[in-house]
Amino acid sequence: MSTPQQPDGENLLREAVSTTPHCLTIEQLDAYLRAAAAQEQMRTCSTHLASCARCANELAMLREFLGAEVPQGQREDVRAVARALEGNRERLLSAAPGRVETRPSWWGSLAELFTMPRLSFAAAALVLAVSVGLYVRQGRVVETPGEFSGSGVYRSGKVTGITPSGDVAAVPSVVTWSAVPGAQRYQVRMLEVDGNELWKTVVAGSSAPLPAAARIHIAFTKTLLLEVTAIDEAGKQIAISEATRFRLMSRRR
Amino acid sequence: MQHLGDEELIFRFRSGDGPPQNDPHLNELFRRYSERVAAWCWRHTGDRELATDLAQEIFLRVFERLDSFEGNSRFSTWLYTVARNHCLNSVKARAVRKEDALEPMVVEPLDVATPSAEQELIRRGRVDEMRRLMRDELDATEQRVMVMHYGEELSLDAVTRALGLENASGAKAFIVSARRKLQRALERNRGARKGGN
Ligand SMILES: [Zn+2]
Repeated sequence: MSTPQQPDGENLLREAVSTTPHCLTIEQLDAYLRAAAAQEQMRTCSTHLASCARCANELAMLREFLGAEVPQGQREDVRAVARALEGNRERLLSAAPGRVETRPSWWGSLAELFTMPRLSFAAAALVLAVSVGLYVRQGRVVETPGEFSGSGVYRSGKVTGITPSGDVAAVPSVVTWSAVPGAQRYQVRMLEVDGNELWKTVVAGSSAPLPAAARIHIAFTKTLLLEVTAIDEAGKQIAISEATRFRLMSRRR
Repeated sequence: MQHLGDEELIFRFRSGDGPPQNDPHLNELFRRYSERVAAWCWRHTGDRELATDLAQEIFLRVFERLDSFEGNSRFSTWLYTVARNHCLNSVKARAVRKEDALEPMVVEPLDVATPSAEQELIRRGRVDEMRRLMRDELDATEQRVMVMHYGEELSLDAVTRALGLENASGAKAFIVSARRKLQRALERNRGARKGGN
């Protein structure tokens, strides 16, 4: 029998504040802070927080970072640092990776055609096909509202076929849409009509289950918006849907 | 543009063109967070120049990797993670560790007859007990000081600054009182265990 390794008070303290497998991720803490998690998750979080000084401290730090409150005595110093930062703004921002290519200036006005709700999409595509077909064929134009595939068939930069849409009789449990060629994953957002984001997820396929955290926002007669963004392997946004409205017209949950 | 979420700004920046420093969405993102990052760095260093350096490094790191941002977490939590780690690491690296010795914590020794298979279980039980005591016996500031000092390994000076403690001896006073409370609670528990059997 080996002599037991005697416990050491200092090690015990260190271990008692170390991370455990039950510790909360920063996303969980963030959701907890905003009360944006499902009730069940909120409970799991608060149970863990009640027993873990480490996570409680992390939550406090996150709150301090996100809260823009600068104590009176630090304001002048913080302002000086912020000014120095501002002086270097251009250099800092220029570190962001460049976009794929610079489009000709007339692109913007063409792009607007696609956002005009009344112009039919086919008509817009036709305008594009007639006027810029050559240019688009030359280079790979990504992150634009529309794109030609090699065969000359117009491929829209829009995600379509979103359900639920319009008035629905029951709380939906899933969002579906038409798959977009080249998409590796999709971001799905549920928004209020003023654009306030209520829920968001990222999935690989062309449907996303609506968890309790999302369903909780679906209230009787309240109009909500769904938005789906297709993202390719390189992380580029290749298509985005119109904000699709839906509304629950039954009290059945 | 102010009504757009951070993630939306990033997506719009990605689908725009021209040099990034001229992009209105990226500028808006920077405007939203520059003071927060400045405040965070100041809080952890207490030095304008150092705080400016750290803040710049944080933004550089984040902007350089902006194309790896996937939108399945929020931009603000990502920025927080970068800022948190960068500041704590930097403060840790700079610490001149020469701190007064504290009274040692006395913990119950293991019985020499304990089979080694049980030792690990007992040790874990002790850690769990200590975790509980920290949460139950210490006040909020004591807890944070303990986590920052023993968990994040920040010097007492750094903890004092990070938590904005304004008492004369800063974090030291909280460490001393926390350890005392924990020691007392350990002895109480130990007595209860003995009395119970
Ligand atoms: Zn934890």
